[in-house]
Amino acid sequence: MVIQDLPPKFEQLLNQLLNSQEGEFSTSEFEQFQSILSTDPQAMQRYFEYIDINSGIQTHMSERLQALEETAIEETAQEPQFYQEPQVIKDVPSRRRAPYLNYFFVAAASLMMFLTLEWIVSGDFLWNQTSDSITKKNLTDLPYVATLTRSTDCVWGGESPPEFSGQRLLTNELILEQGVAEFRFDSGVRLIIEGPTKINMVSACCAKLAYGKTVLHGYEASPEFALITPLLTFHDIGTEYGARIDKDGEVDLHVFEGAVRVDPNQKNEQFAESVIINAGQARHLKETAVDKIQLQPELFNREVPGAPKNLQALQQELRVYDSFHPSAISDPERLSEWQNAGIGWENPWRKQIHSRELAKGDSHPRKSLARTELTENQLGLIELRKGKRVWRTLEKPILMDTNAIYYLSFYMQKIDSGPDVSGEQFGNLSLQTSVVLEHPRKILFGMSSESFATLQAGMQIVETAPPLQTGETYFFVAKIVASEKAADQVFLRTFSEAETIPDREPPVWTCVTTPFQDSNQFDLVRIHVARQGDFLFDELRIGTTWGSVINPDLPRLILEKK
Amino acid sequence: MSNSISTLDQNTKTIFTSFLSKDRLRIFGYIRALVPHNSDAEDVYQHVCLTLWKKFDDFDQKRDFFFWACGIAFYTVCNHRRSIQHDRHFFSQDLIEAMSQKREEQLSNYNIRIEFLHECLSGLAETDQQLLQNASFENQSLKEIAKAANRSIQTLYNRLSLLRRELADCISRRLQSEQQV
Repeated sequence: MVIQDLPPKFEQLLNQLLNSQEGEFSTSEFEQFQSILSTDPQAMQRYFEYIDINSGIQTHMSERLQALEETAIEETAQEPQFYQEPQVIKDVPSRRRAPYLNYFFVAAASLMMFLTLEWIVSGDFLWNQTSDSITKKNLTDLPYVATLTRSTDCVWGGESPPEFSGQRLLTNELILEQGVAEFRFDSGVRLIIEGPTKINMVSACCAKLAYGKTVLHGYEASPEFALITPLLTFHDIGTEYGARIDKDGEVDLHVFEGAVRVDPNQKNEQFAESVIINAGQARHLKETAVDKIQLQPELFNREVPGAPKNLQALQQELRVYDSFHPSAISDPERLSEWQNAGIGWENPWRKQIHSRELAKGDSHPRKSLARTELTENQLGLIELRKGKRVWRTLEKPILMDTNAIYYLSFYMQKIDSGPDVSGEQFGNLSLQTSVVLEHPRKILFGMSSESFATLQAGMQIVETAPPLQTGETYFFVAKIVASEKAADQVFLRTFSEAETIPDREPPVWTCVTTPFQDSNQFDLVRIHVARQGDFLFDELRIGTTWGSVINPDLPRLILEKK
Repeated sequence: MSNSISTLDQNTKTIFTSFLSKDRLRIFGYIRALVPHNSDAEDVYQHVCLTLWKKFDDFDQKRDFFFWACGIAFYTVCNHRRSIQHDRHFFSQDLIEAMSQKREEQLSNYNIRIEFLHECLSGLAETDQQLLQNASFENQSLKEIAKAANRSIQTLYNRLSLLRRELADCISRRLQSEQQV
């Protein structure tokens, strides 16, 4: 067949379909493409050939399909009993079965046959037709609503207790038997609960509390947060309040700041309208009555107890550090060997992943981007430009297939390359894997060519305006929430020089991914600067807590110990 | 047949897997032609595998597994088409029916065509091979490739179109000479 026999538009559309990601092919283009396919057998032939070329080129196609098969077939092992066909019933016949049981089994068998038929016809069950019961996509659809930010002496009950501080929480019921825990809802509201308390996370703006003690800290930008108890619902109005809820639903409410609006869950004659309780007031509330009681803030844990962690404790939480400090200053200084500094690394910074050749980049051995004073052995930063990439292997990889929280921080500054420079000017730091994957994954933080703060993870690219400023140093702090059985999520905050870095994790982030699936083990760190870019990097840290990557004194202590 | 792997005869699974491994690329190729987007095709492929596995006891092993699988795949594609969201592209039922038959026939010489494809591919410049491979991964958009290669997207589009045409013609020529021999 000669290609000129085909309508010229077809070749263009066919290539466009193969080149485009979903959604990039407009409806009219698709209709046109379909129309040619329907009427021209040669076009159909060419379409088949191109599809086979596209698939045949992919070197790991067979492995990819095998993985899909395994996922699909493994799912059958986890399906509930009603997926099983009637032979299960045949396995357990009883000679003494009562006659009506035969009717029951016939009905059950019919139901199962119906379900099987339904599944074959529609690919799913009636009650589940919109979801995909085979792939694991659904996991990412579950809504995260809050983060367990801190906990002290906690004993959790219930079926799915939180496993670690920093864990993202789905809409779920939690039972705290004892101890004190703090949740930060995604709306910004903080809730401190003290065991025994049973709470159900409904959404980022709503929780149900069956019984227990809680203190709620409102958040200025948050919409009204509804705390629903068995008899009453509390709405915060710029509030800090404490509530003790009995199992019979009666509540002692103590308002420390702002005000609380109380509504009965079922209106009645005595409690027909909302009641506002103001700061400094306390009330004993029932479904039908409101009685004054003495305000007693001391009855509540208004924050999770425990002094800020000392440096010794934080040391355990800092796993990787690099000050880019050269062991000796060379002449010229920019050639000083910065590639082998720090802790938590398997090897020096290299030019390529599998190369032993040291990475190239200018050292500034007497300077630092850090905003706090550094000791002599922390001084030094690196300057990368002209498309430079440098790689270093972590001693302990970032594991996305376990329940863990990782924090990462570094300083970064884009240098003005002059008015005539155009084209790619991005600079970034990313976590990568040394295993060659069919679909390579990375988690990347940095500045785009347009100077927007950028976060890439999973299949997502999140960029935030306004652009970061050239010549200004930014402190990047990222949080990576890895989950074994739930979705993962990554957060990035960029701090300008004028901003204070908070001691505790902030409620506001610069870029946040939506939950996604990742089970990679990231064992490499790469710093990459575009061909037209010129960036300074300094003070790279990876730890397991916010404090471990922002505390200014910690690296000094670590280096002294080293 | 019970659906639980644990209750299945392991031998059955081994036989099933050997059938599937022999024909997986052709089965996916069949589905891929009837489903415009790769991610949808992968979803359908998973459904098909599951159904094949569940119904494997019904399969007469003297028959051709590929054609049996295509029969199930055809109905799965049709069901998927009905269940899919309206904002996604999907071929009309008539076109799916028309294509399914042609595609089954066309896939009869799939293995030799893929063999020729690799021969033709190796004749291309390394950069062209790399471009084709990068572009065939669905998760790597041309925009990203263009950005990384510092080239315009249109240049890459044009190059890819040309390369695909060259490969198709090369395979076609080899098939013809094979037939003449």
